Parts: sequence; C-alpha cells; structure tokens
Amino acid sequence: MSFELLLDGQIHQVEIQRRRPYLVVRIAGRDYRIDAAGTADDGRQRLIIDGQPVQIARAADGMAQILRIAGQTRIVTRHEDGGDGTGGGDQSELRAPMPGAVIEVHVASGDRVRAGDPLVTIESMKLQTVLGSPRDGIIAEVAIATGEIFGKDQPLVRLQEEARADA
Amino acid sequence: MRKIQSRLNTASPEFRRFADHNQGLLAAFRARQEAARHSRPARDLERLEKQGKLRPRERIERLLDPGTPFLELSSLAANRAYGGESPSASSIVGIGIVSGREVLIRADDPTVKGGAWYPLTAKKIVRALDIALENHLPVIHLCDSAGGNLQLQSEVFPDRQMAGRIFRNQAILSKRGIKQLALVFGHCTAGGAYIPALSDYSVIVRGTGAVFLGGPPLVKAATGEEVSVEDLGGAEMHTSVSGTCDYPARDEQDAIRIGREIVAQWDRAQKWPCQQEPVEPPAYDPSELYGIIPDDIKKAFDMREVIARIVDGSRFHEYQPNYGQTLICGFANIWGFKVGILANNGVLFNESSLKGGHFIELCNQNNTPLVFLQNITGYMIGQEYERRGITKDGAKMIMAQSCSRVPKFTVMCNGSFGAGNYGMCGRAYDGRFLFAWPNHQIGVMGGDQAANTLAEVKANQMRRNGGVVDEAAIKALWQETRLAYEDQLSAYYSTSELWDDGIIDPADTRNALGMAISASLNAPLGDPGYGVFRF
Repeated sequence: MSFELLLDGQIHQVEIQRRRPYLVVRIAGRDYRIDAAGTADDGRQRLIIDGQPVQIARAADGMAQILRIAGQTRIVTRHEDGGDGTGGGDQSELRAPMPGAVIEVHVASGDRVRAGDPLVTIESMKLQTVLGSPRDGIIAEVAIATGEIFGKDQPLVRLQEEARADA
Repeated sequence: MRKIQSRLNTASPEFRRFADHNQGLLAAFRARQEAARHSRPARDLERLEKQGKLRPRERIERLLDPGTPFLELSSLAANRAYGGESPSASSIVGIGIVSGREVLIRADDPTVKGGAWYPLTAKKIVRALDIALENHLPVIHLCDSAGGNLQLQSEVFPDRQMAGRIFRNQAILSKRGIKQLALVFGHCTAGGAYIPALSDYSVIVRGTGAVFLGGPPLVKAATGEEVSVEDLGGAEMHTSVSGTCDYPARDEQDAIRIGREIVAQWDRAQKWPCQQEPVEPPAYDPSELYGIIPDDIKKAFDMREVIARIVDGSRFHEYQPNYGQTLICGFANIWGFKVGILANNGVLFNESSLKGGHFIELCNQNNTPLVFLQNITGYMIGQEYERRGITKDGAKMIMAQSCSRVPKFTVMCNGSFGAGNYGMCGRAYDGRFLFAWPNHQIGVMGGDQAANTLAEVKANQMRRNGGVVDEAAIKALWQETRLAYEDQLSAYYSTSELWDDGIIDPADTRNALGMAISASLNAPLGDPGYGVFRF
C-alpha cells in the first residue's frame, strides 16, 4: 500500500512494506522499522524507530493529523491527487440526476475543467440547475445538446480517463 | 453547532446582477408600503384633524412602549382589490409591546371611507384574531369605523369566515382567558359595536367616540325617533347608564394612557420553555441575501446560503446531509430560540419527502418549533417516481407536518408551486405565521407551464374537430393565460388576498421570525399524535 503525505509543502511518498510483527515503511527508498512501545498515562505514545525511542502525541483535525514530536508541532495531511480516493462510483461521467431538458451546455470536447465548474444547465420540474464537474480533467465527450430531453441516469458529459500515479 | 461555510462570491458579476435585481424589487415594495401607510387625500386628513383625532398609526405609536419594535402584518393587504381604494385593507394589524406585554394590535383606519370594512378588511381582522387565538396573544382594538361597506355587503356579511367570525373569535378568545381591550376613538356602528361589547375592557373618548347598533339616520328611518349621536351612544351614556363601556376619556391621548394602565394590570403570561441559547448575530451579512436570490424564478440556488444569513452565528447542525439532499433539514437558533429548519434545495424526491417527515417527527418529540423556507416547484413526477411511491411518500410528509404539535413558521423565499406548497406548510396548514419575500411567486403551476398545457389541450381539440390548428388562436390563448398567471402568481396578488401575513424585506427575515417565535411561545403546545401513515 502506498500513499502521499503533505508536510510543510513537501509531498512524501510513503509505502507500507509490512505491518506484522512490526511496521516497516519505505520513504525515499529507505526502509524504517517501527515498534510501538505503549501509551503513557497522559495519552502520549512511545515508538521505537530503528532502535531509537521517540515520544509523540497526535490529534486528528478533519483531514489533518497534528503531531507533537521532538518538541515541535507538525501538521500532516493526506495528499489527495492521484491517491486511491475514498469516494465510490465513476468520477469520469456526469449523469442526469433526474429526467429533464438541456438549457445550456457550458463546455466542449477538449476543454480543461476543474471540479465544480459548470458543465450543463438542465431544467426539470420548472427548476434550472447547474451541474458541475465531478473532478478536475479534460472533457472527452458532450453527449447531449441544448434543447434535448434526457432520462434519469443518462450520461451527459464524459471526462478523459487520466493515468494515475500509482507506485 | 458548526458555522456554515459560505461559498458566495460577493465580487462576482452574477452577485452584482442579482443584487441589483432584488434591490429593485425591494425599492418597489418599500414605495408601495409607504404609499399604503401614509398616502391619503388631504381632505380626509384635514377632516380627522378637525375632529381632534390622531391618525391611526400615531395612535399605535403612542400606545406602544417607546423604543420597542412593531411587527406589522399584511401591510399590503387589498393592494390589488377595489381599485386600490382600501390601502392595507383599511386596517392595521401587528404585534408589539404595551406596558411590557406582548400584544396583538388591530386598528381601524378612519382615513379611508370613514374606516368602513371591505371584504378583505373582515378577512384581515378574522386572521388577526386567529393569530391571537393560536398564540394566546392579548388583543387591543383601536375602534373607529363606520361599519361594513354596504355596497359590498354580500362579501362582508354572511359567510363563515366573514364579519360574523370577528365577534365569534372575540367570544372564543374570552372563553380561553385571552384578554381584550377596546379603545373607542370614533364610531362603532352595527356589527362593529360588538367589538367593545365583547372586550373585557373598553375605553371611550368623550365627544368623538360612539357605540350603537344603528346610528341616528338609521334610527330615524326605522322608527322615526330623532336622537343625537351623543345621547344615542356617546361616552357619557355608555359609561354611566348602559355599562357598555367602562372608562370615559377626555381625549385620545387620555384614552391611550388609560389603556396602557389597564394592560399593566394584566398577568404576564407564562411561556412554554422552548430551548434557548445566548443570542448571536449571523456571521454573514443578511443584506447579502439580495445577491443570492436569482433574477429568474427558475434558477436554483443553495438554500444553505440563505440559512447562513438568518440564524444565530450562521451555525447549523445539518441532519442527514447526504440523504434526500433536495430538502435541507437541520437545527439552528434564531434570536436564541432553537428551531428545526426545512429548506428546499430542489424538487422533492421520495428520499427528501421521507427525510422531511422523519425530521418533523424528531422536532415534535423534542418540542422544537419548525421553520419552513420554501422554494419549491413540487414533488417529482414521472413513472419511476410513481412506482417508487412518490405520492404516498409526499403524503407522509404532509401527515407529519399537518399533525405537528409544535409551532410552525413559513417563509416564501422564492417559488411555491404545486403540492410542494402543502408539504412545506403552505397557508392551509395553520402555520403560526407566514411571510413572503418580494420576489415570491405562488400557483398550482408556473405561467409557462399553464400556458403550454392549455395551448396543447386546445390544439389537440382543434385537431380532433377539424384537423386544422389555428396557430393565431393558439398563440393568443397562450399569451392570455401567461399574462393572467403573471399577475396572479406575484407576491403582491397573494398578499393582497391575505394568503400570507405580509411581504417582508429578506434582510428582516431573522427579526420577523424572532418576534413571531417569541409570540408563539405564549400558547401551550398542541395535542400530540398523528393520523395513519401509509408506509
């Protein structure tokens, strides 16, 4: 398993090599052995990293981990881009949430868009709704045109598949 | 509770465009309201002055505790009726503080046709007394009316919700121990005479105040008897001979002083203990609402942005944020009062309806008042949705909402179309108060839809009858329908007909709701229980 962590603006690739009987992680080509040595009464944890004892305290703040280590406070977040993601479903397709008609198409094939950018304005039940892009990417295909009627779950816009940075 | 993170870009061209549009609507509303309140023919104002009378709004100002707010209701009632000759339906109604008590004030307007009651005047007074009944608010009547408008008697007099209901409501108020005071500044003729007679306390001004079933001209016509106003029903006679009124007053100012003293004797009502927190202003400026409401009724907008500009600290605990997302449900505080909010963020689907019904039940169990923020085009229609039971799911929401025991409040933030109006506590569902924004539109369907539907039906009819479709006739029908709808869909039409308790400035929504919620807590909670849910 591999993921990227963001620390002080730097992305660090972290690869878990093994979990039992002790944790081994590979960072920048080097393996580190980590043993858990218990939790103190005040909540701090003791780890042994390559034979060196280290005391840490940590707290979760939304997506971030706040670490107190070696007298310093560090904030680490998961770097999302190219990660294995947590949301299910195909993020490359914009499907109709309900039956309706197309009022306006805001993009064309080949356009670069960011997550949330307006792709299509639809009208259903007398209400116009702007449908936004599910992710950053490039438009592969616009499957409908202004004035067209569509059914529920019909694909409206497709984004180009992107090569994922997998280790 | 977490603060809502606004995504509004107040520097965007869209925000500017919407803000300009809505501020234009607001300015038009203010101009109409100003005219309805103050613009009168000089002749009528001079006559009032000669009689030594104050204008009705001056009477109210002097009656209220100095520096306290007055929540005026239905200031533009009757604005589309009777050629505009009955501003505010010739009657002023509102909630204010007198001698430290929350009261409902109802005043006749003698500056319009001697204060004669039009059909919508009766409707407005009946509604005012319904508000008093539902919220256990004491009532102060400021009487100065010539009686019913005789030319329109068939619409004022006979039916269940017409003038007779005013006196019936007065009797029921008394039965429930809700106090009433009548200050008789001018004439109370015919039915109007029962207002002081059915009040617990009445004050009558010497010289100008008079109470009688039939005035001198009617008496002369009926029996030949000739008698003066003063001898027939003046202050002296009623406070010393008939006992119909309780206190004589030297002049209007004296009557107001006596009235304030009487109210100061009344018990202070115990309110039921709705959960309260320290008051916090919203973190986002309510005037940004003008840039949130779109310039076209069909354009959707995120109702969280509206909630963020109404509730304390813009804090909102959203319930089921990932389920039935077209109906936003959650808890917040308004002027400290804990409320459950239901706000439309799109069409009502099966899931949104179930979530709404469930949330309403939660609020009923926790004694949390409900606030409905309407922008609804209806429940979703179509084969898939019918097969999944959209009709019975909507029925569940209507059942839960109708049978609620907690007070309900509705704000018409934009469109209110079709059955969504029902589920979201429209006028028929006995919400304690219902306010509308100037951009509001209401109808069984939108104007375009109605015009299209009728044009389609007509064209089919022509095809069946002769095979030729008269395009010109179809177009004329379309335009005629569209125009008629345009007029009747507007907030001014609905407020004219008293389908709401008044149009308000969107930025005042928080204040109007705060006063309304506070007033509602005077009444005990309703009966618990529901009908049979169809699962």
